[in-house]
Amino acid sequence: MSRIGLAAFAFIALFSGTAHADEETIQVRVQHTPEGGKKEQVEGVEITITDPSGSVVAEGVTDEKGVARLAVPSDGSFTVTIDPASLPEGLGVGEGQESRTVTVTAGLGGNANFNLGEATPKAASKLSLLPKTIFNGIRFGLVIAIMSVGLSLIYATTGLSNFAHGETVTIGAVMTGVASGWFALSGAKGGWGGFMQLSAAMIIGVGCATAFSGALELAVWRPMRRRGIGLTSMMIVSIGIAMSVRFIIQMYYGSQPRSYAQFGSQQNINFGPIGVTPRDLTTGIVALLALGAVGYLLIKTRTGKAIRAVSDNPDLASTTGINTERVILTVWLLGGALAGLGGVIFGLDEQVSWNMGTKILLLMFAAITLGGLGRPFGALVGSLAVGLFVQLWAWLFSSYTDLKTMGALLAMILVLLFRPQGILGKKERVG
Amino acid sequence: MSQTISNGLFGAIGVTAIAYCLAAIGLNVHFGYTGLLNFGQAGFALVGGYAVAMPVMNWQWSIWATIPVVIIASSIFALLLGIPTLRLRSDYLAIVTIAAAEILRLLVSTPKLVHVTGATDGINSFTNDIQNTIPGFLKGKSVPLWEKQISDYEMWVMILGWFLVVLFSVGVWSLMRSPWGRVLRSIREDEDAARSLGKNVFAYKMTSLVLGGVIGGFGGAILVIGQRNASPGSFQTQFTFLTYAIIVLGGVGKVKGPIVGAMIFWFMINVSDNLLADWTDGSGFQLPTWVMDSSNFSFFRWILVGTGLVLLVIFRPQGIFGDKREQAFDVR
Repeated sequence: MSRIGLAAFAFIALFSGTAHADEETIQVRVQHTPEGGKKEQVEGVEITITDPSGSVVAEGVTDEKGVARLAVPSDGSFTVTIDPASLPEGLGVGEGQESRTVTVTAGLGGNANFNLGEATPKAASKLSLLPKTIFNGIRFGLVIAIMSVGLSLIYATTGLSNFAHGETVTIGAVMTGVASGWFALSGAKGGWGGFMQLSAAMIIGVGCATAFSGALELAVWRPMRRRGIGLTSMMIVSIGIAMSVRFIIQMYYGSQPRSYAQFGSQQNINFGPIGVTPRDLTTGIVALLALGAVGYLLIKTRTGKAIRAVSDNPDLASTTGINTERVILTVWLLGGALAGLGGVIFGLDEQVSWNMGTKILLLMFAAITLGGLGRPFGALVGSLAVGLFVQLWAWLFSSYTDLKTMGALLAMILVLLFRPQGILGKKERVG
Repeated sequence: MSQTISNGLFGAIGVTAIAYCLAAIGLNVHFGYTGLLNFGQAGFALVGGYAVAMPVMNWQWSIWATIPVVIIASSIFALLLGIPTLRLRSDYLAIVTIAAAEILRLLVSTPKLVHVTGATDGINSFTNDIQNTIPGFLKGKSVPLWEKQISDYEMWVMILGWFLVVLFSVGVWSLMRSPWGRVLRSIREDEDAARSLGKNVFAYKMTSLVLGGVIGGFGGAILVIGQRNASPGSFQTQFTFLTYAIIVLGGVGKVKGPIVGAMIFWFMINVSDNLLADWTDGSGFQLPTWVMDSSNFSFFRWILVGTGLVLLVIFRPQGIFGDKREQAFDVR
């Protein structure tokens, strides 16, 4: 490239030797002043001069003094452009600064001086962002998984699609925010102090979410089951509860999204191509641990076996002496706690707002439908798929990131077309 | 006080009530008569609304020429939703319809399509044809409703809207008395029984989804014409849930249900809004500010709606005037 540029420069130099009288010269100087250092001339920068109609009238390269003298056919105004790609490593030219208009006066010529700055970090190439995207997708998937395991267990044991689950998430996040506000009054922002404060606040928030979920089971769902009210009615009741609670939160928490008081910006820790803040790393580990604990509970413990028995067949489970009502209450409490925890992590990732649970509820439903309705481990698989899909969509169609949720929902509908029982679902007649 | 009542009365017969009433008539065909759990009525309304606004703005169509577009677009949307889900259990339809409605709303909100859909601001100034056809006896006059003045445009849209409500209600009433309607109700009561009698359940469900969807599409069309603006904010998931509240209030599976439900619903919303505004405006009787103040009282109506929906479904599932014996709930 620079060889061609040099050749063009030589050609123009030659041409200027035999120029007619009304030809003018533009002197271009490219220099750079390092911070606290001496002014340096920049050699080998490719320069293009265009006339107002946009056609190229001259091309050249700066010499060892950082200067290029280029001939233009007449006086008037011209646009001088330097090619950012030809700049030496580490140097850059600001956005919109790479070209400027020069007025050439007859007999005097014109001048254009470019002062270069430090190069802004180049936008990383798309492919190099892929590992980070996948990492983010898995992390987002884990967060959705924590929230939707409860939704899936509730569906499996009671048959209810609980639309109020999103509000359980919001309550966890909002109450943590409120409690973190109380603790923040005693100082300490960021660091270990902040971490401890936020952890204490999180216990309060998750406790509130658990209490909310359990209270609903005791006050609403259990009496409704006893009265023999059907599932569709219960689903609509859950919509009504979700609506009331959502707007109670909006009334008293406000419409403005907020961050936790202990929320500070953090430096990335780099693991190869993936940079992650300590905060995101911690929440990711917490999410993994929580999911591992749930998996252990479901597979190894008596309670877990009882939960799985009730989800398979409640009548059969109760004839074998399992206290179905108690198992269902356990599921509501567990689901509430997990939803609250997911809400706190989601609130740390983004912000805490009154409708955050509603916004994520559809993705949760998409996740458990994808994984197979009523399969507890299906929720995990489906959530990872949704998380990855959302992030990969944002990566692939970077100018359509506002549609990333849409992509995940669309994928769910497509999967239902070909595999209605979901990824992990049992092959059974579902219609 | 009379101001509050007249606002409430206007709410009960106004354009919003009409639009929700039409959406509820459609949802009643799905949920009330066929037992389909359609949670995406907002999507049908959005399709109808944009089917009116987009051709007028982008291709300068006459607004009357968009009527077939509303029918065709809503039908296509119904077919797209029905094909993957109507053979599956009813909760799948619920989740797919709610997701599809949300997909459409996100799609029309995206700034990339701003020149076609107007993004979040939506489309304005597509209602000139309605304005120009206001009949002479209304033109330039405002009709008093007690203390509320109704403008000639509003009155004209209301006349058109109530005409549609009557048209569709009579249509649904006669269809549901026909053998076709009896098959729909038998599907609602026991799908397998209907199938064992040789009925093509899938085809009946699909026809029901299309019919109710088209009526819902007209609801969206009336809504955007009444607001003179088609924007995604009008068609959030909330729209569907309010429509459910309306048919539960008026009585599920009854022809008069959506009409009665929509009128009572919007009367109560408007009255409660007016009262709360009055009780938080700093003069006369005031609510304590820790309960609510002038900045947050407007959210209270939704708390009221949610709580009302819960209480109705639990304690009076047949609706206000319904008969418990023909309660059409939970029969799938």
